[in-house]
Amino acid sequence: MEKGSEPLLCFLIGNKGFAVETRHVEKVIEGGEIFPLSMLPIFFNGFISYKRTLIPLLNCGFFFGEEGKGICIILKTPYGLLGLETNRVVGTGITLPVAEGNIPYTKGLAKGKRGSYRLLDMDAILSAILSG
Amino acid sequence: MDDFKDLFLKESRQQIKVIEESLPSLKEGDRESLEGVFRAFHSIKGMAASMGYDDISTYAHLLEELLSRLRKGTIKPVKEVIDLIRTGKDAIDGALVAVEEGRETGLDTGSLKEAITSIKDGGPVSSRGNAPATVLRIPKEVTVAVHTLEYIEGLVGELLTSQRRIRGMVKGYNSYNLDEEFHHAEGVLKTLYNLILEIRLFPFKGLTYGLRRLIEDSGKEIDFSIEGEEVELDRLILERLLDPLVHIVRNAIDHGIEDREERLRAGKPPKGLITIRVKKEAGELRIEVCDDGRGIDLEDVRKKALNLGILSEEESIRIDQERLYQILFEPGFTTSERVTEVSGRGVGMDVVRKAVEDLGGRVAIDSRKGEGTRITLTLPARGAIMRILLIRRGEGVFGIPLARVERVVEMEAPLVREGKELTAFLDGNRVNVFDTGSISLPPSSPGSPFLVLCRKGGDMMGFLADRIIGEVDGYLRDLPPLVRGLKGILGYTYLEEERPVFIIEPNAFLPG
Repeated sequence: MEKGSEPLLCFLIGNKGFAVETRHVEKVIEGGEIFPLSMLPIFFNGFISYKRTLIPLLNCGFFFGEEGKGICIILKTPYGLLGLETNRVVGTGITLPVAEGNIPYTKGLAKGKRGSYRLLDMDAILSAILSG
Repeated sequence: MDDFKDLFLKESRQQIKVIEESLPSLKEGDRESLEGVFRAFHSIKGMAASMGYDDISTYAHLLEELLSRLRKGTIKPVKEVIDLIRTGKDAIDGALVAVEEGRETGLDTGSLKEAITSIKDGGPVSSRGNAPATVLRIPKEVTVAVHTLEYIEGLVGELLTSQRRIRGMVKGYNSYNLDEEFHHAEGVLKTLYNLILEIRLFPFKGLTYGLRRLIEDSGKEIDFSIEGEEVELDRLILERLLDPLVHIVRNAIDHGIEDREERLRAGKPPKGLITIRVKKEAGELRIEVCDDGRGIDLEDVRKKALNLGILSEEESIRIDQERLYQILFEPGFTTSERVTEVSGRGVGMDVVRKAVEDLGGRVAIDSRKGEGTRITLTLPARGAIMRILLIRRGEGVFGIPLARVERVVEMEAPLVREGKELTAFLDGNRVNVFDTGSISLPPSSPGSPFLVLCRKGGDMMGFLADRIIGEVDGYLRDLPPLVRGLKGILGYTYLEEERPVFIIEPNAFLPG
């Protein structure tokens, strides 16, 4: 079953493909130091510093079972910015049809020429964080 | 006056927003929303009265009375009641526009009173208040939200970081002109950064006009003294303190200061005295509101708490003074038999506590029967420049507010580990130790040579440090909303480097 298409940013976390609607993306930055804090909830790995402001970094291992490194996608959420560490950005501005799937914290599978990308369910991710 | 009017309008609109947001759940009978809407109208009433906008104050008072009946359960949150509250809220919103534009508010308190009176306990409603509809407004000034200023501050901070990187490159060219131009740009950037920090600061005296007016209009003979009105506070803090201070001063006027005859009988000067002291010490803001009135009768508090069911018979016998003071912060608690238009419902102190706690602060009451009352608000100077002690532990650099530090000692004896707990013995006393290194990852092993000792009441805690870097001024920033409220971390700051420094809240590790 295909859903309506929307511009997506496709990227790799570990060696798995993921995607997020470009409307959620603030910026993509390279590298950057991570500042960990032991009392952070399991949902976060630490912080990154962006424009002299701390941004919590999503624990991809917890949510997706994969860890990214090197490229950080800064996502816009109603609760402020959220960092997502990835290995590589595959493409921007791509519009892909999305088929339904049942992988946690994703809302479907976007199929492109270079492979399949799990579309992040931002609402589910935020809901998990906010409900603790 | 304009400064205070500006704050009044902002704060009132904030309360209007609270009402708007709470109405849907109020309709569903949500108790918390009811308390929130009640507090919001109460706040508007108090602030309007202090500014001399009597019709707004009366209007809010009438709506507060309606809500009071909802609280007691004598009427239900049926559509007509909710509509009346909504219409009343819109009318006040419209009146705020009129105040902003220097016009008459046009509030028809008579019609509102009639509409409210027509709502019979337990019965349906027949009519509504003849309130003006919300007025469309076109702002004449540009208002910059504090978070926008923070964003600009971040951008300038980023420029400062880039500029430091460029500095190294410039040196490589060995060009006098380039060097000169670079230093000029550097100076401009630093000035801009300091300017942004200054824009957020506002002297406390922005609040004093309204408080003085409140006292003058009370009709009682009261002198007003203020110390430290030149102290500059972060604008956000100042805005949020307006409402609590109005409540505290109102309580002092209405319930604290006696009338002339009573004072003379008690051997006091005929005129009462209300004093406000504002101090900023090592990053902590302390505001004391003192009156030389009749003080709080704790026996009255005990009896009222018993009657209201807040305390059981047994509890009322065993309860200590501190806990009795805490009862004054219970929503709806009052010792006053008299409900005046300005205060006496007892809603004041819970509003005060909530506002202060939202800012990460605390409220303390100290009172002596017949002598007077002192209410102290202590706040961390969030968003303001804070003096911090920088320490290194393992790989991490941390800050501890200097105001919380009692002293730093060099350890002579090794730490004692009992299970997960670390203990040091200083001058024969046992001191619990927190390994600051456990905050960062990976954690460091114990054995550091310094202990930063912090005290809260009678309890002491030592924080391990490998090295004491020194004291610095840091601009304290809140943690991002998704992780706000992290126990033990007050916030963070950036110093010269791009690396953030986490600021530890020692009190979070101490009992109580």
